[in-house]
Amino acid sequence: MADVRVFRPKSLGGLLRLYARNPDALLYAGGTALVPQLRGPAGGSLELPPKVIYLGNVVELGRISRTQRYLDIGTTLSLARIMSVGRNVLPKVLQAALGSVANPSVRNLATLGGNLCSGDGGGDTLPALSAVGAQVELRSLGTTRWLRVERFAHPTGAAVLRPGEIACRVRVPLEEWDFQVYRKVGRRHGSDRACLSLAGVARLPKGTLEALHCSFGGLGLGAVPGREIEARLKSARLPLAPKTVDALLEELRRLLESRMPAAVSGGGQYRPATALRLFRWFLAGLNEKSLETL
Amino acid sequence: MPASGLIRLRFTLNGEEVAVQCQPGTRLLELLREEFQLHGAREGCGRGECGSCLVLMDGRAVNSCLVPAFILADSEIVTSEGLAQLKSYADLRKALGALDASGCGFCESGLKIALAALLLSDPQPREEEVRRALSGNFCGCGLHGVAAGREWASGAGSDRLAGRQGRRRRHGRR
Repeated sequence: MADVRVFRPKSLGGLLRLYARNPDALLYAGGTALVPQLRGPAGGSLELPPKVIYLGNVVELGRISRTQRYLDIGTTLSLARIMSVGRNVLPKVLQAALGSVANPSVRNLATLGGNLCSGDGGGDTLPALSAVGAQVELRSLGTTRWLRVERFAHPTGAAVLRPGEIACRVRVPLEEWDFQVYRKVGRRHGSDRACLSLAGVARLPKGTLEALHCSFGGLGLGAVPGREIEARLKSARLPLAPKTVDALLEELRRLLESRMPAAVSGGGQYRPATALRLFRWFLAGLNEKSLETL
Repeated sequence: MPASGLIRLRFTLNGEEVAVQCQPGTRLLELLREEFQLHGAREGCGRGECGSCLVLMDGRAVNSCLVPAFILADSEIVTSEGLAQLKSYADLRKALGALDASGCGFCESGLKIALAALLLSDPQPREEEVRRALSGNFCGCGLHGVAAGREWASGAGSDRLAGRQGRRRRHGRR
């Protein structure tokens, strides 16, 4: 085995300088997605690249802070820690999405940044973060930029990071929502990520639809189908008539047929059919809620 | 000075400070079983899905099959062999022993760790919390332990337990 050098920076400044000098280094945080990939075909120890930067000691990346309008979550915070610290603050849809990831022991290791960087395939936190309008702060030596999560987490799993850039925190807007739902179907089994999810939030003062966001995970389309159908939904009257529900489902079906990558659907009907069922469930919930708020 | 490619680590293992030299990519599970001859944690799925390799790391249950050596420095590891040092050990023994919470034994160590982590954070967990805590533990021989743990929680603690044992004894005498 070739020598492996492990760097353990303690500050964000130190990390950015180190990463600028070693852009080929592997960034390691929770490792729950990485470790199974890094094990050789015969299993056993990890086959690490020559340079590894361990992010777990970088103080700034492990912080969670709250302002009146936002919750800023460091990307190396474990999912379990976010659920525990943000118990009374996190939007319910995000709390549900975090709780849907793997199992408690994996959530003790897995980080929010890692979950986002593993892309849309697992349908975990991405749709919920997208539904509430979360953004990711990306920093490199001397530059900072913010991206909406759905733009950051590329549908095929490759993040849009520039050389030397690191995802530092996720900013979650703290808004009031009358209706928040998250549902995931299926579980990850190793590299086979047969899960789909839907996250949706809405404000329904007196039964009228004031704001609505819904996002799908695991379709290989990012949050796109949700965003496109949102516009149509917003102009509809609540509760939705059966005809309107059928028309919306038909629109989603056409969208999935034309734009879902074959690599994701595998040419089969499981994913499109499951996405349609999830969407029907979402619309039924929305209708029910609109009647409650009348 | 460690040999080429090796890292030197110090961490606490079952209450004792230990030092070890290993490859950075050695997993905690391998260290425990091969370096320290602690065989309670076992390799099941190797992906964090079955829970048979659980250990406590700084008080939280983690899958030792997913933890590389290079993140271990200064951490505190407790394996199923070291659970007796925990303050909640008496409760844990009661939870496991009184309910026969073991099957073939393969998952038992992971089950103990998951329950120990739960009892550390909440000495009187509710059914929902026990279910959640054990949701990452797979028992291949019929879910004995998991079912028992869940029953323990649904029985609202030791009062119900005492009742169950009483009924068992009565059944035994018939």
